[in-house]
Amino acid sequence: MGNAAALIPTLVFLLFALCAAGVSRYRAKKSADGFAREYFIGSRSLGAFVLAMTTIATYGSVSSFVGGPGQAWSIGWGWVYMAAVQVTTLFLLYGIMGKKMALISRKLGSVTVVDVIRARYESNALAALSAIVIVVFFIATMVAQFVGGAKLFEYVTGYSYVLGLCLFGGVAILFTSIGGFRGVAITDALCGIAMLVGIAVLAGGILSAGGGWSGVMDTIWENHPEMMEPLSGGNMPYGLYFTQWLLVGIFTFALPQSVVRTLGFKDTKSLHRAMVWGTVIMGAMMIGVTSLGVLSAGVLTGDLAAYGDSVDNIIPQTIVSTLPPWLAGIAIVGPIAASISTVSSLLIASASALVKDMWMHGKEQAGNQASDRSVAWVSRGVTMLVGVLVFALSVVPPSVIWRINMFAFGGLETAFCWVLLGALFWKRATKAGALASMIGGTAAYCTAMATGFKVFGLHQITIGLTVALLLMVVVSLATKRPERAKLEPFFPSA
Amino acid sequence: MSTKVSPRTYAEKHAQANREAVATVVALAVTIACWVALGFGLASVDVRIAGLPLWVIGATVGVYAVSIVVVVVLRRFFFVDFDLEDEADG
Repeated sequence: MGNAAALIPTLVFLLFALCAAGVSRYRAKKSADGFAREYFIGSRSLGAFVLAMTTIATYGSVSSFVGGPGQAWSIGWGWVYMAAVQVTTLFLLYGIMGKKMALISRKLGSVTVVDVIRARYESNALAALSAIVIVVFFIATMVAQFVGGAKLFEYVTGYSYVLGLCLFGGVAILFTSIGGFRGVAITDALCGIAMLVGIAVLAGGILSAGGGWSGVMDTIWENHPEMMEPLSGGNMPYGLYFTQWLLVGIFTFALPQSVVRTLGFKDTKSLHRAMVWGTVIMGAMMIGVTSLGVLSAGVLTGDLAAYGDSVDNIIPQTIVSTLPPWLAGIAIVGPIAASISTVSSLLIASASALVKDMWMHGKEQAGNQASDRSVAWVSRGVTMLVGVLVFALSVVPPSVIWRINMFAFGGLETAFCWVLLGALFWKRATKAGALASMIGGTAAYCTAMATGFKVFGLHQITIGLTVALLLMVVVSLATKRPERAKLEPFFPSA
Repeated sequence: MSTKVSPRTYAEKHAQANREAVATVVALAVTIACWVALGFGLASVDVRIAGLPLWVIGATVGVYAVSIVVVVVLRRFFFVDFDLEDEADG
């Protein structure tokens, strides 16, 4: 039987999130100009704080809270040094994509990232492919988020995995279906706050259990002096630093779930403020949470076998062994919030890919515009359905989902990076180049990942990005230059 | 250094957004350089602060501080406010 005291903070938080999403939906009803624009992009109304928080919360996942710190427990400060590269993610996204996407999407009336890609390359095939890549990778990622959250819930509260899944999974699906993008953004902001609170509480727990800062430091120096070196006695080679820079630093600006946020903000002032405050919060969160992993080595001093042979158990075990149940309950709201805020954003983006990019576009092509009423029903229905599918897959996750999830992050970066950069910054990028880049890059990346093939022992993201770039450039140059007039919204002539 | 004149036409706004994108990439390069200097660069310095080797402070607090300075500089000197809606533009 579980511990009720550990359950209460999660319940309170979920209830609060549900209400916030409901209220935001209710208030938004008045501004009714086109359901899809409101539901999938919140009528471009995000202010600085919500924009920053929704970007951070979408990006900050259960792996930032559990897997990453778990690695830091075994590797040491080198892992935190690596995690610090994430301070660049917000200014890269906002600085490179922000204003270009905002201008173009307003000009064209685009609601999704795929809308923009379709318009730039004039290719329904590329748009359909983008939508499929998004839905497949997002579903696998969502399942992983749910599983991570529910495992942690079970470990800390003692209640069953399925109960946890029903609680926060059910709430996440519900508030996303009801609230749409606006509700997701608002709850993301709440989740971001919960994540910070969770970090602070756990930090307190570790320090008091480990005999204060100096006690924790002494224990680490004594047991694992290599954790105090950047290369961690060979566990953290230069090559890993390099590829992590690519994977979780530089190329995160191309993740479609992040890019869609640049379609939703209100004005340039909001963007600028979000960039500054977002970086302040992102840095504190990512460096902070990963540092907790290192500090937990001052408390959990056994070897990995003592903790079920998985670094994913480190943070849950640290929570259980350093905090009384009610505080443990508060601490787990952080990772649970990280899980549901990532899921909700991926869920609304998946639904937009299916509804806006496929169904609505298909109807337009056939010459009959979908009525706003039917768009409303279908949008909510599809969001709910995808949510239920993800939920069902999470109860007993099939192994193929794990494989896809492993490919998802780098796969999305490979698929979208050069296609988006070409769309916004390279006039010469052509439809054929974009198709080749997305198909060839993603295929090369996934094949290399699946077979374990590496070049110079580096992570396969190097292969994916290189192949995708070469294909984009070579194929674009080999095909006919896009028509000047069609590019006007993207590259206006003065 | 940017002159900070608010762009008016759609084309001017795009030109400004492009300049900001370039500034962002330069900001990335600066951040990477500082990241290397503050982490690996300090790795062999035998100084401890609060039980931590100096490079750890550089790699965490230092990199964090650099990133904040970088975004403040970007915003203040390179990013320009303008209306995202399409106003009178020929």
